[in-house]
Amino acid sequence: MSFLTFDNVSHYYFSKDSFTKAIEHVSFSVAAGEFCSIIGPSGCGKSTILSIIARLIRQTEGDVYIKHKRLHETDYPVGYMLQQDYLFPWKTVWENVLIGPKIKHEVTKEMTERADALLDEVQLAHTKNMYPDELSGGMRQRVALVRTLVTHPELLLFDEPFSALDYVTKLNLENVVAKLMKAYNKTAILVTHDLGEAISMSDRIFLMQQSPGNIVKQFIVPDELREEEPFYVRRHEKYQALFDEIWGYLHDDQAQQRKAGSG
Amino acid sequence: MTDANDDKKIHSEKEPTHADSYDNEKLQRQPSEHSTEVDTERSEHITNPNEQKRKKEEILLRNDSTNGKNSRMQETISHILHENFLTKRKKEKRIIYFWRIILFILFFALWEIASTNYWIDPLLFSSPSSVLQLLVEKVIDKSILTHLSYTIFETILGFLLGTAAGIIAASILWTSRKLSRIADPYLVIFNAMPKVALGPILIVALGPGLISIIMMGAIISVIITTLVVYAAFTEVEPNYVNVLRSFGATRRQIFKEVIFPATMPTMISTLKVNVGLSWVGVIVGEFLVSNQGLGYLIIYGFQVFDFTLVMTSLFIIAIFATFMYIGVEKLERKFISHKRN
Repeated sequence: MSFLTFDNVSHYYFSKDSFTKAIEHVSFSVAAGEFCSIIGPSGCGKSTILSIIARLIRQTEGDVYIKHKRLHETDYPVGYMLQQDYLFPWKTVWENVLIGPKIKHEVTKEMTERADALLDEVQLAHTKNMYPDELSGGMRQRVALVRTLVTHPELLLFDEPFSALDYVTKLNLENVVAKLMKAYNKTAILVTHDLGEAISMSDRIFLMQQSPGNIVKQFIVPDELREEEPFYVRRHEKYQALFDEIWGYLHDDQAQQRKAGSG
Repeated sequence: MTDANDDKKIHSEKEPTHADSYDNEKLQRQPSEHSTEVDTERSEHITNPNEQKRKKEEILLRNDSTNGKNSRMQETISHILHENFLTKRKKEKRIIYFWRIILFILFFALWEIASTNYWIDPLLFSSPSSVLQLLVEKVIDKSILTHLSYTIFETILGFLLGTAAGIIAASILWTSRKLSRIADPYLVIFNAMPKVALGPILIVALGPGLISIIMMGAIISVIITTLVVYAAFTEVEPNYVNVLRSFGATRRQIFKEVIFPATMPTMISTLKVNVGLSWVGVIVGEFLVSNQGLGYLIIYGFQVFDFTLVMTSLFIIAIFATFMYIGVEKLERKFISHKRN
């Protein structure tokens, strides 16, 4: 059953003298519990897709359905994690984590227990009363993850959440996220520049093309890779084959564009 | 963020994973021999380097092999290094204070000498000794205290009113982008206009008394506060807002949880500017009302050609304006550091 469906969605950004087609005629669907990645060159509208799903912007044309209902007519909880953690520096870790429930006026005992358990799971229970400034980048991103998960969203959006971190922290965090997503059976969409990250974390990978942004190809990640933790996927023999395949497409795509640009 | 802070963070992050922490300690210990060389070199800066050196060598001899002792030794060395750093800083501080006092003495001595030798006209520029004399006289007969308390009261009230009104106005503007665009040219015009020119109108409207003067102190800072705080509201990192919007926050919640706390530093720095502005407003108000207060003393001194009185009032204003500024600065430090104890 498809959980999230994009049906012929386009989004244009308007300014005084021009308008930009961020995405045009994008259609895809994601099944419940599936982990999908979107890769492609910068400016191809990857983040626009996430912003639409998070209801931060509304698409210009087309329809988005979540569980067969129009997305903008529901208040279905969607967790959204950005490139940087955007923890509020004036709030403690604990206050940051509980901001979602606070907004919805549902800071219940159940919520606080859940937040406690999640913080424990990412090994940050001891930081509860600290301020974000006192934490390292990796810790902050883990707090942001807990903040996103605390409100129980079934759908999670990740907008290059690991790109600002150092390599070791990034690999660690990939494992943490993959483990949690599987444990709670969440549906997730990851936008990334990093091909290796996309392969190691997801079930399916969408390749996007630039101007106008559109999904041109999708790759299914083999079962053997899906079952491994992201860290070990990178060492799997099938990893390199898939990497090369996608890399080939990315390369062709760019070559074509260069040709189109010069011609 | 400083480098030292970063190190601490990385270290503390490693803590939960026990397997790592052992390796980590080992890694940190290794460079200890290396660092002692550097330490010995540096310690020569302090008062009795030979003794320090000997101390360190003793420590080295005492704990040469085992790891536990090794780390204790390193601790002692870093302790010495820290003391070293503190003495250096103290020394620098002393030099700065020394020159500040020298400048202070030099300024007043020069003023006094220039005045007694008629290099400058003592009738116009007075002299420190006559200012001091008048000040003591006025303090003893307590007349200055009434004037001073009036002015301070008016300034504080005017400044608080102006700032609060400005922040409230900015908050109202934030509720609607359309409203703020409509109001924009009027704010700019009103801001460009010299507010003290409104003084006569205020005095006629509100009567020649405290209220008019307080209003002068407030009106002078309200528009600039509105403009600065509103600009700060609009410049809050949009992704902070997006985080809340993805949780389904209302505009009111966004204001309360993000916009207001995020602009706290700006609001407090407008306080700093407004303290100075309110003094201007209040003093000009007192010029016009000519009833009591330091502004009145200045205008009175000017009318009877008693410039010692003018200088004395100026001197008091300078001191108390500084006190208020320092007070706001303290407040700033307290609010802006997110680490409460």
